[in-house]
Amino acid sequence: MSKPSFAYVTYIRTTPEKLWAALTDPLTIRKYWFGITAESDFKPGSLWALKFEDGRTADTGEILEAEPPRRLVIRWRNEFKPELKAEGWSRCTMLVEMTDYYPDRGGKAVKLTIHHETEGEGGGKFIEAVSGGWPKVLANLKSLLETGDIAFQEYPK
Amino acid sequence: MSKPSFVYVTYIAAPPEKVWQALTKPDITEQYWFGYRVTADGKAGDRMTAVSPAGKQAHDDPIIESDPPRRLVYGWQPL
Repeated sequence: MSKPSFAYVTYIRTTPEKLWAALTDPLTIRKYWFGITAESDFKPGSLWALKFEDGRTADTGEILEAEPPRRLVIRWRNEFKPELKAEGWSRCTMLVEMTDYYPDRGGKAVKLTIHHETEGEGGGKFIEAVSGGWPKVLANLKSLLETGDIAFQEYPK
Repeated sequence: MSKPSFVYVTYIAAPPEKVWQALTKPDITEQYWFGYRVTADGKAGDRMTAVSPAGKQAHDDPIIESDPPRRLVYGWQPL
């Protein structure tokens, strides 16, 4: 039995450094993450949290690995929905790669891979929730980096 | 045993009609599909065709469902 997991790949017309900055800068995160922002210095071993605009905590965890601008691993648990919090810890890996980047053929994009899996066998509801959220957040991130504007202002109902 | 499958979701800042045009009109697919001219603007039972940048026929597949601008299903068998 494999653990519940979510994988998403997108290509963004930017540089690895700009993408890394967008993934780790609280003010940029707030622009594309529907007002949610991150509290962390994104150093290995540091605490990490996502906060709603009103100050409530959405998620908490710890930075497990950070290798700018390539690799970020966060231990991650939901805090605001009891049924998701009960499912325990997950691990989110973000990879920024130049794979499939062909400047000699006009390519201008970097590859962003998100892999989010639970630490244990359970966690199906949590993974289902992030499977709906990640495409919206990442579409907003892509739009922001490529056009300077986001696709959604508020979290789509 | 489930069949192998792939699912992907993205959100695009455009009206449905514009996305539909981009999925079905060769003059638009040519710009983002690595030069392939894909024609898929027919009804169910019509054909989806794709022509490579070199002018080679790459697809001639059945359109299974077409409900513009909401839902498009076609077969997929590279020639």
